[in-house]
Amino acid sequence: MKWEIADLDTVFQDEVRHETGVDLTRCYQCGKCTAGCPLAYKMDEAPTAIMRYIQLGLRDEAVRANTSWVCVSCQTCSTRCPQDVDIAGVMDGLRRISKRSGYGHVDRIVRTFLDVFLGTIKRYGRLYELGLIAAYNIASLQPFKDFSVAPGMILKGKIKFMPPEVKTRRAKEIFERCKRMEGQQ
Amino acid sequence: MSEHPVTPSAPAGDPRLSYAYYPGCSLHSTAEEFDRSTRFCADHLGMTLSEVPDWICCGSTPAHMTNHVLSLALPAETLLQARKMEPKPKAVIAPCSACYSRLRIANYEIKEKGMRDKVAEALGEDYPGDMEVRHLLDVVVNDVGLEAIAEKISRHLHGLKIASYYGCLLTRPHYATHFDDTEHPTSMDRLVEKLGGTPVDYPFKTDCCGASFAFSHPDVVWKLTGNILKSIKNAGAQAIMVACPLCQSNLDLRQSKIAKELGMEIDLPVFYFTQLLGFCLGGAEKDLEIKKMMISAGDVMEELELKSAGEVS
Repeated sequence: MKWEIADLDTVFQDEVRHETGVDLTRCYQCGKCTAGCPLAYKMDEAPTAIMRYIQLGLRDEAVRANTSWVCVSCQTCSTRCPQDVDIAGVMDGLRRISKRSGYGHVDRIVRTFLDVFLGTIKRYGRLYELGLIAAYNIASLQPFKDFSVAPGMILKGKIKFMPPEVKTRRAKEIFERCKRMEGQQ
Repeated sequence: MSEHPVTPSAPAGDPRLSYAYYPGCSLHSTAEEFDRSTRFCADHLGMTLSEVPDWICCGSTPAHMTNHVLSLALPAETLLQARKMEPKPKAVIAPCSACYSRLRIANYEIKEKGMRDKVAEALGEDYPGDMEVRHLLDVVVNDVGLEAIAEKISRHLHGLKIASYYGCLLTRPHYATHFDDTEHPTSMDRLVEKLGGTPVDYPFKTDCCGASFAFSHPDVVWKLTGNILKSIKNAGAQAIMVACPLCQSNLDLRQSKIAKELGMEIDLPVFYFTQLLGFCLGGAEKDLEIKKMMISAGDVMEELELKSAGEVS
C-alpha cells in the first residue's frame, strides 16, 4: 500500500497522545519491542505493528487486535526502546480506550479480573484476596479454578479469611472522584 | 531451625536508618513471611520501620489498565499520608516490586509529566510528588551496606548455590526505578556472595514470570515461569532468591504444576532475600517462617543448620 504523508489521519495518534502522553512520531520501527516481548507469541499483531497502525491513523487495526490485552506490563519494551517510546504505556492506553468505549478487542476474562480486583480495593481500601478469588471465579464462570492449590495455601496459613480492616474511606472517595473526572472528559 | 538456641537480641536503632514502611497488600496476606522476615532483618540491622498509617492498595496493574488518574492517585494517597508522619520520614520503603514501581511512577508522573493537578483533584488534596520511595533491597544493600551486613551476621550460607530472580518491576520501567541495572542487576547476587553463598548466573533473571495472568490466563504463567525455572535448574542452582511477593508466588505456588508440565524434577525452594539474610542474622523459624513456602526448604535448611552448628558460639 502506498501512503502520502499529507493524507495521514492523525486524529487517532492525537487521541493516543492525549491518553498516554506518548509521542508516536518518535517510533522508527526498529522492532526491538517485539523482539523482547515475552507475550508476542500470543498476539494477533506485534507491538511494532500496533505502533505503525497508530502512526498511520489505522484505528480499527490497532484496537481490534488482541495485542494490548495480551500485554502483561513487564515493561521490557519501554525499557529497551532506543527512541524512548513508552510502548507499555501505549498498550495501557489502548486497553483503556477500548474498555471505555466498548469498541475494539476486550478480553472478557482479563476485564473481569480488573473489575473484581478494583471493586475489592474500592470497598476495603486494601486487597482482600479470598474475596477477590471467590468473586472472580464466580464472575468468570470457573468456580473451581485454583482448587488444587487452595488446600495447601490454607494449611500454610497463606489465606486470610477475614477482609482487611482499614479505617480510612479515602480509597472509595478517590475511586468516585476518578470516575467523575472520567465522565467530564 | 528451632534447634538454634536463642534469637540474638536486636541492637539499638541507627537514627540514619529510620524509614516509613509500606508493606502493601500481599505482605499482610499471602506473603506474611516476607513481612515478618523483613521486620526481623530491619531490627537486627539497626533499621527502624514505621508503618504508614492507613495505607491503601497501590492499585497495581488493574488500576493502570483501567484509569490513568486512579493508577497515580491510589499510590499518591499513601505517599501523602507518609508525608504527614512526624517526623517526616526521609523515604518510604516498599518490599514489593509492584508497589515500589507504582509508587515511583506516581512520583515521576506528578513531577515530570504534569499530572500533579489531576492527581490533586482525585485526592482532594495536593501532593507534590516529593516523598522519596525506595525498595527494601536497595536500602539493605546500599544504606545499611554489604560491609556492615558482613560484620553483623553470625551464620553463613556455606556455598549454597542461589539463583537470584529479579523479575520485571524491581528495575523497570527505567524512568521510574533507580538503583540497579535494568538488564543485568546484581544487588541480590552481591548480597548472596556477602552471606557466603554462591551466586548462580542464568539468562532469565529479569524475564517476566507472567504476574497476575496467574488468575486470568494461567497458561501464560506456566510457560513464562516454566522457562525461568528450567533455566535456573539447568544452571545448577539449589535455591532461588526473590525480592517480590508476586514473583515468589508464581515460582513457588505454581512450581509443582509446572514441573509436571515440563516433565522434569525442579524442587527448588523460593526464598525471600530477607529469609536467607535473616537466617544469617540468627533468625529462628518464628522470625522467618520458612515453613510457609509451598516447595519445602527442609533439606536446604537442614544442611545449613548442620554446617552452621560449628559457627555459633
